[in-house]
Amino acid sequence: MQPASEEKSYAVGIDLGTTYSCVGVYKDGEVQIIANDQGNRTTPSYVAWTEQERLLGDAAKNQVASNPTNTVFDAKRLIGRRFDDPIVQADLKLWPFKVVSDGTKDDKPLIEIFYQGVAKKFHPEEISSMILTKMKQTAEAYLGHRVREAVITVPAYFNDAQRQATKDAGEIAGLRVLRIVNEPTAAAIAYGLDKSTSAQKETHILVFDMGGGTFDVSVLAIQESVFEVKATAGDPHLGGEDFDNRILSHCIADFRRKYQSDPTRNQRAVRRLRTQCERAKRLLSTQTSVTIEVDSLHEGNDFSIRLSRAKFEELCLDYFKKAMEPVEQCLKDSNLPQKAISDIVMVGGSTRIPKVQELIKAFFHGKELCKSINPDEAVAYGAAVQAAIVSGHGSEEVQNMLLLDVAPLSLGIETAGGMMQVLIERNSTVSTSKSQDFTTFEDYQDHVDISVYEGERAMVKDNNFLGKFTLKDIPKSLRGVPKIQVTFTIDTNGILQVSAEDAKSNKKSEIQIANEKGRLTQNDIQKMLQEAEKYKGEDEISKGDMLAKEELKVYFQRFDKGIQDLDASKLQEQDRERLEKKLADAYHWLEHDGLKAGKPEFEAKQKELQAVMNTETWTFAGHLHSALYRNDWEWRAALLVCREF
Amino acid sequence: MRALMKSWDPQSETPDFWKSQEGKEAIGPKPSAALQRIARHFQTLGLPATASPDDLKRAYRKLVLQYHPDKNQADEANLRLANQKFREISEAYEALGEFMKIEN
Repeated sequence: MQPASEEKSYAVGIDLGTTYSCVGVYKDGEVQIIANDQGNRTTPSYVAWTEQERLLGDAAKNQVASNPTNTVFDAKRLIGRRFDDPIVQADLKLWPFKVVSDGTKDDKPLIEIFYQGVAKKFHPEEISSMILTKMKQTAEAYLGHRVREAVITVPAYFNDAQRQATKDAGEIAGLRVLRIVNEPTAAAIAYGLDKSTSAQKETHILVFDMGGGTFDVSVLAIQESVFEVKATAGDPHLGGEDFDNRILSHCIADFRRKYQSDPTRNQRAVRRLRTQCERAKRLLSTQTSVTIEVDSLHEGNDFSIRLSRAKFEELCLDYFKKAMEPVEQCLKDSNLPQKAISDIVMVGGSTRIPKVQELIKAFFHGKELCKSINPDEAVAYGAAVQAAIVSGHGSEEVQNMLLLDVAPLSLGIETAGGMMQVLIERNSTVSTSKSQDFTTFEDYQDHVDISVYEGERAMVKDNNFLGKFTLKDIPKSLRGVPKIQVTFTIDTNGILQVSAEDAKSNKKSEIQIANEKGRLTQNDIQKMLQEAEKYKGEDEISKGDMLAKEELKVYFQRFDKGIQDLDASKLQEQDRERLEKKLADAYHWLEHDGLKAGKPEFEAKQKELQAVMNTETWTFAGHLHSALYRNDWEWRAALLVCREF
Repeated sequence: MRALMKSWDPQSETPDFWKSQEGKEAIGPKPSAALQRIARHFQTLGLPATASPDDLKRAYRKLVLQYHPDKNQADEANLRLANQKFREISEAYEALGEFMKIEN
C-alpha cells in the first residue's frame, strides 16, 4: 500500500443487523452501498467454524445445514444481555449452537463451538466483531484504503449495556466507533436526503423499522437539514425470525401429525426446514400461497405442506398487532396527532409483509406508505452519511446536516423504598445534563449509595440496573438537612456520567456508567483484540497454509512412488525400510501435529524429507530423478547437495 | 437503610441577571424564580419575550447547528464549551416550548 493511501482513511457506516448486515460509505458526494465478495449488498450475520477454517457471511450461511452446531448467528440477540435474561433463555431453545453462562456474577452468555478438536468459547461481542471485520474488509476491498472509523447502528430501543457491547465489538474489530446511531434515525437521514429539496417547512415523519430480529418506531421532525428525533419506541425482540419460528412450529406440528415422529432433536432437519420456512415467508409477500418441501427431512420421511398467505397471517397476527403498540406510543410521546405525520417510511425486510403494511395503513386512516427508499439498505445509507458528518469528510450538503437524537429510556436513581426517581426523561435530546437535589433518609447518615437505573417502571427492581457508587463523608446532621446534588450527563454517544456532590462539604463522587457492570473490561477487550488479530492472521495465512500442505502431500506421494519404483537390486532392503519409516513418520506428523501447523512448518518438513532423500539415496539418485524432481534445475541442485556429503 | 430521599428544598436559583449593569436592582418587585428562569432562557436563545413558537424553533435550529458537539469535534476545549452551550440551548428550548404551550 502506498504511503499516501495509508493517510487517507474512510469512515464507513455499518448496519449491524440480527440476520443481515450492510455497509456503506460516503464518497464523491454520494453514498455507495458496498457489495461483498459474493456480489451481495447485504451480508448474512453468520460466523461458522469448519474443520479447517473460520467462515464469515455468505460462506457461513451456505453451509449451515451441514454444520449446525458450529454456525453462530443471532449474536445481536445475545449482545449486552445476561444469560439468565428470560429472552435469552427462550431463544436458547431455538438455537442449534450451544450457549453457556460464563459463571461470574455478571452472568454473561458465552457461545461454545468446536474448532480443530477444541471447544472454544466466545462472547457475543466477539461474534459481532467478526461480522464487523467482514464488513470492514468488504469496504476496504472496494475502497482500496484502510478503514479505521465507523458509525454502527443499533435498534433505537437498545439499552445502555447493549449499546456499550456493540461499541466494544467495533473496537475488537479494530474500528474506532465514531458514533452509535439508532437505526430508525439513520433510515430517516436516508429518507431526508432523498427529499431535501422540499425541506423548508417543518415536516414530521414516522419511521417503521422492522428487521430480522428487532423492531423500532421513531417520529422525527425535519426542517432545513436538521433532523430532530421527537420520540422513539419499539421492541428489541420482534422481527422476521419470530415469524420464521411460527412457520417452523406449524410445520413441525404437521410433521408430527403425519409421521408420529418428532424432528426437533434432529438439528440438521430443523435447520433445513427453517431455511425453507424463511424462503416461504419471503415468497408470501408476493405470492398468495407457497409449498414448503424438504426431501427426506427426518427418518427418511419427505415433508411437504402448502401454506397460504392467510394462514401465515393467522400464525403471526399477534406479533403484527403487537407492532402497532409502539406506533401509538410514539405518537403519544411526540404529542402529534396521526394526521400531522406527512410520511410513513418503511424500513427493514419485514415491512415487505403485506399484512404489516395493511395494518399500519389502516392505523393512519389509509395513508399511502413511503417506499421510495430501499428497506434493506436505508439504515447503512444513513449511517454512512452520519459517518461523513461526524468525521467531517462529507460535502457541504452533508456538513450542513445535523442529527438530534434522543435517549430511548428514562434514566434515574433509586430513592427510599426502592422507588425510581427519574432525572433524564426518555426522549430527551442528547446531549443533556440534569440535576436534582436529594437528602439523607436517616439521622447522622454519613454516606449514601447512589444506584443508577434505566427504564420506565416506578420501582427500580423492574428497571435495568446500570451502576452504583457511594458518596462518603457527609457531615453528620439530622435527616433531611444535607443537600446532595445528583447530576446526570449524557453525551452524544449516549454515554452516561453520574455525579453526586454534597453542598456543604463539597465532597464529590462520580461514575461513568460506560465502564460499569456487565461490560467487558479494557483488559478483556485487549485480549479479544489480540485473539481477533490472530484470527485475522489465520484467515490471511490459511490460504498459504493450505497450499503448503497440499504441496507436502504431493511430495509424499512422489517420495513413496520413488521408493516403490526402485527394485531390490538398486535399493537394499534395510534402506528401503528406513525410508519407508521416515515417510510413515512424516505422514503421522501431518495427521497430528500438522493440524495446527502453518506454512513454515510444512515447508520445513518438506526440506527435511528432501535432505533425507538426498543423503540416503545419492547412489541411486538417478533413478529417482524423474519421480521426485520436476525439472532439471531442481535435480542439479539436489545433486550438488548430495556431493557435499 | 442508606438510601437517598428526595430533597424538600426548591432548586437553587439563577444569577441576578435582571440587575442593571451598575449592579442596581431594577425598579419594581423582584420577579419570581420561575419567571427569572424563563427570562434567562429567552436570553440564551437570543429571543425577545414576544417571540412566537415558530421563532423559537427557528432560533433553536440555528443555534444547535452552531453548537452541536458534532459540529465542534475539531478541538477539545471547543468541544467542552459547545457541549455546555448545547445543553443550555436544549434546556431553554424545552422549557420555553412548555411555557408557550401554557401561555396559549
